[in-house]
Amino acid sequence: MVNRLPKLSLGMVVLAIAFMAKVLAPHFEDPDFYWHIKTGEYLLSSWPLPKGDIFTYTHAGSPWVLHEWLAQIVLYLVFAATGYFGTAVLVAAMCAFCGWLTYINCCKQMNNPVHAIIVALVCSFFFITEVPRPHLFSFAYFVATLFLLLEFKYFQRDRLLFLLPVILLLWANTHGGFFIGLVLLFLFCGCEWLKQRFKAKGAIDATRLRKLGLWSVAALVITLVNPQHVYLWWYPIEAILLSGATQTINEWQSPSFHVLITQVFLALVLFFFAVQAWTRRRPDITELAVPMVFIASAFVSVRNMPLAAIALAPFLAMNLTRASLPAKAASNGGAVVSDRGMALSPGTISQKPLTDRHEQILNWVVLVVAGAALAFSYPAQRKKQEAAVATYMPVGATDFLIANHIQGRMFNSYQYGGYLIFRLYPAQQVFIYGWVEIYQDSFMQIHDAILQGRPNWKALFDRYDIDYVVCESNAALRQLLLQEGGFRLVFDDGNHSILLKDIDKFKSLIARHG
Amino acid sequence: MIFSKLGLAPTVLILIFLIKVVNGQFDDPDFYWHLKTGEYIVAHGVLPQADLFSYTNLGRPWVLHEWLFQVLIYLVHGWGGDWGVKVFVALMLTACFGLCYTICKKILAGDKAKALIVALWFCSIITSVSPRPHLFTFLFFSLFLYLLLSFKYFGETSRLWVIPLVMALWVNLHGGFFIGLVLVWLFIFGEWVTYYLAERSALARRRGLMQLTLIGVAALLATLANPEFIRHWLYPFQVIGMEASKGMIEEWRSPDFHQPIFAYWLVVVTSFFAAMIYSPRKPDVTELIVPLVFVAGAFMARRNIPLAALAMAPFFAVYMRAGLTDSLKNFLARFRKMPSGDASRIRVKASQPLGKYEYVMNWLLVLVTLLSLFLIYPERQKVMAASLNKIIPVKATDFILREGIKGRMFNTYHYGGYLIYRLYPQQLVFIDGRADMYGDAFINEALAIYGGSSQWKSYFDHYGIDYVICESESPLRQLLLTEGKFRLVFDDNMHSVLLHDMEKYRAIINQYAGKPAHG
Repeated sequence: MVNRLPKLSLGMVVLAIAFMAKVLAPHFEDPDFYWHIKTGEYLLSSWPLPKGDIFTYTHAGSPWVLHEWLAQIVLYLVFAATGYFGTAVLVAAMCAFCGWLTYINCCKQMNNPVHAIIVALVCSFFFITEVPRPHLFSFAYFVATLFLLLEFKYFQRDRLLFLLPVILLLWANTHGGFFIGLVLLFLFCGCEWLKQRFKAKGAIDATRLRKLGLWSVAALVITLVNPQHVYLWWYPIEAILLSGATQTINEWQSPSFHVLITQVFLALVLFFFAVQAWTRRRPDITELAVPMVFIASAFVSVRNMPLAAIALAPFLAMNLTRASLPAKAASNGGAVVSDRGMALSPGTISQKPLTDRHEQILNWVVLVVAGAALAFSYPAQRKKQEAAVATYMPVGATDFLIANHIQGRMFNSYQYGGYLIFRLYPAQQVFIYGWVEIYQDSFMQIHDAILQGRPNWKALFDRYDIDYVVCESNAALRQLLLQEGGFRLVFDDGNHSILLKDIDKFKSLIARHG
Repeated sequence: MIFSKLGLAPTVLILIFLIKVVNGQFDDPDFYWHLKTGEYIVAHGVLPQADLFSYTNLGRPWVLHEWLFQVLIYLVHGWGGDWGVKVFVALMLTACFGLCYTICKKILAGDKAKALIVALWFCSIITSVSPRPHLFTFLFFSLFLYLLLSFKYFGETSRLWVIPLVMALWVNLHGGFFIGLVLVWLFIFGEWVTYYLAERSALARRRGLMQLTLIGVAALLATLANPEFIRHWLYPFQVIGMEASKGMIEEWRSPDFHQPIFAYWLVVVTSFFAAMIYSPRKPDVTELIVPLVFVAGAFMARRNIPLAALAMAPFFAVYMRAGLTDSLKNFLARFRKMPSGDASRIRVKASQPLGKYEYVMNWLLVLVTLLSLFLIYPERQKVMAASLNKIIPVKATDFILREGIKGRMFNTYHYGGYLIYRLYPQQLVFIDGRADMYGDAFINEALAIYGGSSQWKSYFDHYGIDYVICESESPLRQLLLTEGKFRLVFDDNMHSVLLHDMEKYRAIINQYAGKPAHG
């Protein structure tokens, strides 16, 4: 019986458990997910595509850049076919792919699958909160690009380089983060070129380096194959740096190290540097620059944390293998083994066959027990997830809007925009939502001034001739409108509120719910 | 020669001192309640056991863990006024810098130039300190590092006894005394592990480590020499456990690397890690854990950045001593297509010693700086006064005093310290910077009122507020104006004063409600 079961390594067991855990504990409380699937739906159903925004009445027609159209279509198709569960499976599969490739990267450096599993697991921990959004594709492309580069550097597998332009072609049409891939590629090339230029030990020979350079240039050029052509290159700068998004949106801000997940990241980074310093093998410039650049980017924007973790994983694995307690000579500045960036012998991945029958049984038992435990916890997890979505998204409030056919010019909190589009478009357009690139910086400030009750809130609010408001119950605007008396509270679930303007078309509703 | 010899390092120290004196700011609201507390202690000759500055928490137990600093700063302010405080802060800062430089110089075998570069590179991040008790934490931390590293690298044990003595002072000067204990015990732990890993046979070393351990125990016991005795040990844990310490208060937040100062800090940390990795000398346990623990602390809370900088600098010097500079020179030599074998052959013409002219140049530099600072001072004062009023409600408080406004006040959290300083004992505040005394629940109530959350009205009414002093941008200001029961009588576009529309304020409201005062 046991012999008939497919062979199952410990790595596969861990991967399968992580996959199941992610499927059963998804996160749908990110408002951007909702407008992405609505955009996907729109892209498939409408032709020709509009050149400007369709979801807001405040910026209707403002030029938009469809830099994520492929991801939006994929997300929509999966969601339309399989609903929330299927989307959770997609997210888990993407995260598992990243974890698996990180494991392979580590395994090749460590020569010990168990150690590699631990490193990969810790470094993939940051996917725990990932949500169904296009940047998930960026992580997958990133880890694939890193894999190809490491194969090239350490195992001389040059023939895989042709995949670089293929990845970048898909990336440029899936997520604006394709820019990160180019940074990785050219950072790697630059560092290796420096090594070659200064004839450092272990430098890649010029012919191979030229080959890498040519494929990198091809990858750069192929990113022009997208609906926006050359404008897409300018887009990341415009969208991120010039829009002011880095100042106002949480995920672009520096991490707060007062929460567990960021504390784990900080510990990982410090551990990484400690191991680099401790081990007698000193990293070459690529082995230091690549993780350092992505660690710095994670310190600048919390959304880059998973990238940094998977970028440092193989280099951490490499040095952990070589880390040992220092001999006496080390403490008085003794000689250091100078083997920076030496090529490793190819094919060092451990392929120890799992011939032990008991180990096989144990792996299957662990998998089945873990699967059963996760399945058992699913109802509770689902409830928890629904509660989380209802806490962050105005689920009940939107049900109320639909049930009562409330229409007009809406003011909504920035955080609610995506969900409201998902539920209400095309019947209703929103005031603001997560696609910050279509706004001028000042519009975000106008939204904040209204919502937070700044001195000029009233003049700004009146400018848009608002009929109804959907906002957090704790928003100063809600309290201001109630004080002022021109709006009536018709819905409040403790987290989200709806206020209607006291005008004729809402009279009966106000009379019933006000 | 009438001038004594003035080396480069003293010149830099003098410049730091002068620049800090001229640029000394008083925009930290906590400085003010420390000053007032010092005044109270000196005037009454006792340490207050319970809150006396707020009417909301009047009589609530208040652990006075910084009483000695408060007395000291009050006396300094009494003797020298604002200038005295500026000089005091500048002296403390210069002392930290000087200690850092001294230990770096010692590690770098007397190479003053390198020591100066290292100290400047790491300590330039400390320049924006304010007159608060944490100044002593920075100073004593530097001193402990000096003593511990002198022990580690030069076997000096004769001055270790200073540690418990200083600890007895530290525990009465600042709650950060805990950091001193962490440093000492991390060091002891690191040294013992290093000893067992590498130098078990060295008997003398073992004796030294035993001595250091006893010093650590004495330092721990010395922290009991405070008015609260053992209860004082709980204070750091109480503060760390508070929500307010987890990002609600700015200085406890993690660094925001979008700001240039923190981006610079990230570069400094990166340079340290690079040095640690590429130095020919591999770190031992102490060299690894001491800087890493304090770097982690700095990532958690920006207020710890100076400590991390001070902790990294001497270890960076250790890596330089071990040949990091030569490695760098070799690397640069390759860059310039120069022979790379012997780094010592690389010479830069400009580094030729200037001989006696060096001292003249140094004096000249000090005098020119002094003259420049003297010339720009009036303009700088204006800028600083304007920037002070942006943060602290100076003019709004003048208005309250001028009009004799009294009653139950609601104030923004960070106005509290200044309002205590200007208005106590005639007026008590709603809240101020003593977050540990107020506790999370009350702070959350104050924030709910300020931010206009759904419960603001019930909390606000609960306290029977007569007047409000808050930012002009505060949601509360707009809510009260919309409600109509409060009138705006002062507004300078940064701070506002609103009075409850009641009889006792009638005359003031009549005078200012139509056209609020603004200065």
